[in-house]
Amino acid sequence: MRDFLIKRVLQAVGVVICISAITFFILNVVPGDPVRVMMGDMADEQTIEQVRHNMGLDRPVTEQYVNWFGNMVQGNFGTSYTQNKSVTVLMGTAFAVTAKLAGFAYLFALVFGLVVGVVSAVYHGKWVDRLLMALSIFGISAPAFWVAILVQIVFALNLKWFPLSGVKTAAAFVLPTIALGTRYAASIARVTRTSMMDVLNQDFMRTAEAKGLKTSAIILVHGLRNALIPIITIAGTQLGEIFTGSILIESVFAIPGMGKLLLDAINARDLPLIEGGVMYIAIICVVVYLVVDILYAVVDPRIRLGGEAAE
Amino acid sequence: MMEKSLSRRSFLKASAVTAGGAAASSMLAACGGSDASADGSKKKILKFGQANAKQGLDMQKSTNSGSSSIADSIFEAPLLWTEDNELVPCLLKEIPTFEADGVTLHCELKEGIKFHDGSTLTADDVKYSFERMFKPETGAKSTYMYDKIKGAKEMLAGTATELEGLTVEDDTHFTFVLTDPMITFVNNLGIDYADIFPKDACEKAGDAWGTGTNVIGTGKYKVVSNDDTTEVVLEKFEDYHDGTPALDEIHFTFIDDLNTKMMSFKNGDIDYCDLDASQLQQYQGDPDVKDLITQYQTLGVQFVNLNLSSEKLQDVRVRKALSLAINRDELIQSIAGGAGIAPSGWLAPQTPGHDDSAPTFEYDPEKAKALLAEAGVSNLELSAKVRANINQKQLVAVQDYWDKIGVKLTVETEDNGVWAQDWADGNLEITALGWFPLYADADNHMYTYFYSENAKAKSSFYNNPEFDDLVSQARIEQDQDKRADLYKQADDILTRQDYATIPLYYPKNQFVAKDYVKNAKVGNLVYHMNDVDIDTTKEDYAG
Repeated sequence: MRDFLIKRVLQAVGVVICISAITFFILNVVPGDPVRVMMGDMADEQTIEQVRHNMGLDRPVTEQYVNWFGNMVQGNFGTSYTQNKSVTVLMGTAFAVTAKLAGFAYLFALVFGLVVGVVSAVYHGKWVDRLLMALSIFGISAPAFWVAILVQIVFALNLKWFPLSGVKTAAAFVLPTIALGTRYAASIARVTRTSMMDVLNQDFMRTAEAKGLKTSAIILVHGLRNALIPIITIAGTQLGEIFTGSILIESVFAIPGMGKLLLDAINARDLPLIEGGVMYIAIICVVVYLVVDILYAVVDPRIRLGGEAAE
Repeated sequence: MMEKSLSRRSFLKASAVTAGGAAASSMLAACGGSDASADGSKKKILKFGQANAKQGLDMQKSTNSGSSSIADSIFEAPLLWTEDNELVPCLLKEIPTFEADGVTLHCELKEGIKFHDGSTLTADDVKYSFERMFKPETGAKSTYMYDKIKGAKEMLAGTATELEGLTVEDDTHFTFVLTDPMITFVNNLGIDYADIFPKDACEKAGDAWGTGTNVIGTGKYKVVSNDDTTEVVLEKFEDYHDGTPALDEIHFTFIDDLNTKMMSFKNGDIDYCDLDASQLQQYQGDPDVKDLITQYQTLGVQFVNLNLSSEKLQDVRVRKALSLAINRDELIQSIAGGAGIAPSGWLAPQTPGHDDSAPTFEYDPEKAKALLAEAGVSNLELSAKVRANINQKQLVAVQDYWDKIGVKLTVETEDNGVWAQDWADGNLEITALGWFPLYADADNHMYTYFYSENAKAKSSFYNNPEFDDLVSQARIEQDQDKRADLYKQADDILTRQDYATIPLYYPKNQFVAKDYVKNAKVGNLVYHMNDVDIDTTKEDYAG
């Protein structure tokens, strides 16, 4: 298990370094001049050249990369071209907001997804199941921005239960949580239902029933635990998606998170900020997959034992 | 195993309780009472919604009108362009005029002006602010408007550390000396790029100046809080040098999404905001909003840029034909939702030099065809590259008009960064854009865009020595009437003799403001809160 962990962590670090180099060079090859975008249409040539020089963008790309990489390893991603602020600070602030939203949305998705999935599986074929599954199809196919506008109109504009946008109060997170979490909840529900139905038909479930255990214990302890592997897979990848920011949800609800930060950075050709953002996404993905792999081993001893036996 | 699953379940239960509790407590908090002054009357709080420019509030470093709308309530420049597009004194006692040599400008500050931190404004702060602008490490973006001050270019190049052409005589008197005459220099002292900062506070803040609460000016409102990402809160500056500001507080809320911004307006979360042209028709049909919309004329022009270095565009008859083919009245309705007026030249109506007597551009496709035939041109094919905004829609409409006179136009969309590079490199045969000068003066319009040296970097390549002469003369002419006349002649040559560019319309913008918001007015593009007030007696003002 320890060797397995070390190997996976080293792989992860290698992946991150490769991504940093690829991103840096691609961004420097892609046409489009960050200085001109930053200065606007009215700026004169002399000022543009002056600013380019001050920013060090007239130096060779390899020299720029070496400087950037050296600083990055020390945790310094440079200064945003447009915002005149440290990329680390900007990303830190945005991450705090995204983490809050993503955390709420993920919790919402997990709770709703698991409950709906389990209930559907238990009442398989009954009207409850049909209704819930119809709703889940709706949840998966409805675009997030559409759900966002819908909940804004209904719960903020008409009913006035929650704030329309912003991040001032905890209540302001309710609507974006629903808008962001709905799709994930729906897909977790569908996977949970399928996986649970497989498990519910297994022999050991009948044994548990025969032992006279309580129904809730049978379903949750024996059923859900054994159905967890596919759920962890999908919930894990979703965690990566949800934490790298939802550009649409953040735009619609005026939430200054990672997605919005990156989108604006790309539009403005704010290279240090884009590079910082890509590194952030890369690191999140690598970490999430690492955690998912470890969780498999924790939940299913066969994976852990199988792994050790093979070594 | 049982223990583990129990703990997992209790975790879920605990999380649900926590989430519910948080929601409940914040809902209770939201039900708190409204703000009121000590005497019981409602506080005047203006809530303005806008996109976050994300460039800070230091106008030496930002060129974004979204930065200006906030910064201009906090900072002041020596002079001020009003919402009526007039230049008036602000920090200076009066508008200075050049000595007979055309390069020496004596200025006098009003006495006893206070910064928000209690310090007094002196000429040293003026000198400090200008020197800061020219220090390479500042990275100021609009130095070109002031670099005729003696020594400015040397400072920018890093060969000097002091601004030779700005001398301080005493606390309130200072003098600019320019390298050569530039009459618009005085106008430029009225833009926020010339904001005056308090030396001590600005030096102390260093790179953080302009962000957070590192914004200390002499303006009507001072900063209370600013997180740079969601909201900036300002409050009345009691020691303001020119009367008491009308509002108690201004809350600038950042909402980038146009739809959410308008819903927030309807919901009463904000009182005042810009209304995008793309939403105009929708809200003109909304009974709650339609009476609250105000349209205003900008100083800008939307136009088709022709690349005069292209072989195909050498003949003036061809260029005239391209202009004649466009039905501008129809285009304004279909593309701009009616928010524009048909042009008669390049300069917009409020700009001195606009020719009131000139007729609007003619629409006559038959005459256009005849002109093309006369020029011996057939099967003309042109290519356009444009950014994915309103300019793209304009060109698609133009494509259709030109098709009717037998001219094929291909329209390709480019990303901002790529387009900006192509534009500057002279690679665009045809493109469309809007040109919005900072204030009502034709120099920023005509010299900046079409003077032969400048036109090269704008994919225009216009080069007419007669035009160059006129706009150069206007740069040093002290008599404003004579200047206006020079620009009138220049505009005639540019758009009606040479057809060097094709103006499409003078765009209007619009905003929405609740009926309790008084004196909401926009002179050009920037929202200024200088004169805005709130009528607290109106029933729908919640406070």
